[in-house]
Amino acid sequence: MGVWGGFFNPPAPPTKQLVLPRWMNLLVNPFTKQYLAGQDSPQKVFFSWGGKLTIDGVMQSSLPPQWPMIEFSNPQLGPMKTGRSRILLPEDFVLLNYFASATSNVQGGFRVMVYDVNRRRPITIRPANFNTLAGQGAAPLFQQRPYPFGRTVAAGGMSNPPMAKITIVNLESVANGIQFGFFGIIVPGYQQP
Amino acid sequence: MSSSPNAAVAASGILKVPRIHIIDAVVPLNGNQNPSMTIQADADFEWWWLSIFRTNALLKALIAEAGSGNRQFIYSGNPQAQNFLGILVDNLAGLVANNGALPIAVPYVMPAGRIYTHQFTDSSGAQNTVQLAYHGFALLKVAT
Repeated sequence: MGVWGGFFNPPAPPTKQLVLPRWMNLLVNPFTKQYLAGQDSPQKVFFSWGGKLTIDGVMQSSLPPQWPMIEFSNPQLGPMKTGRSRILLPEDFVLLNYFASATSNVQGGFRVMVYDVNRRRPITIRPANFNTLAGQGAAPLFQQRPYPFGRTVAAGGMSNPPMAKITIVNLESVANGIQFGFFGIIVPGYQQP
Repeated sequence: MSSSPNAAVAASGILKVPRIHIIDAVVPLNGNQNPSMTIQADADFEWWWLSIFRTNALLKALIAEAGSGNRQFIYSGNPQAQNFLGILVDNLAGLVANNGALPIAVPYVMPAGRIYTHQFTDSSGAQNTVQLAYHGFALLKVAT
């Protein structure tokens, strides 16, 4: 073939994917695979996260579910004000999800910071809008890994029960009635899978 | 090869019969109601889902389990809180009207015959009709 054959018969260029399939690939949400066939409600997803973990299979509790919470309702949190509080938790409390609500939600309602006091670890690095953290009341966001707050620790002669420090910033220009809390269970000795 | 449902029942000695325990209350305007729920005596109840219907969202709820130190399900994490009336029901349970129910995630077994007390407090300024539904299974013991 010689040199000229190389010019006149170049190797075939790699085939290009058609435009429409490429767009479709971009549009596929990678998390959609968590929804199993026949599941009509995202609330069912946490029972089998990605088909790998069934929460019911690894957690057992003989105690009822718990809703420890705080609220700014009487009085409400003032316009643009910051409120601080703590949620004292029972021993061996395991967090499954948050819940939150605000009577005024024009400017975003409120933002919240959550801090694990005994571990000295922030759970939210920046203030999180309450709906992004806790979902909606009728459709809460569940933690993909349940979080154990542990037991009382002794430090400096003090006994510190498990607790979360909560900082809430009202984003509204009016007083806001706010509820924020945890939903979880008590599982002694629970370790994350 | 998977075993048949009947084989599973035979192995455990428990037949899970779908069951819903219902709490109904008509809460007067800005008042409260204290209905209680008794688990049916024929079987323990395995609680999986909680759903609610109410005519106004401005309704708070408290739930406690009698017979075991009156254990509270809902409580203020702030020990200095006063006049704590509970959780807004829309935060507690998914709304049936919105096709949602709260999964209990780790089902809790309520013993047969045990009493669960409720307190509903309205702040809507109008009469509030509420229904709270505990979905789950009666754990019926069967002869093996």
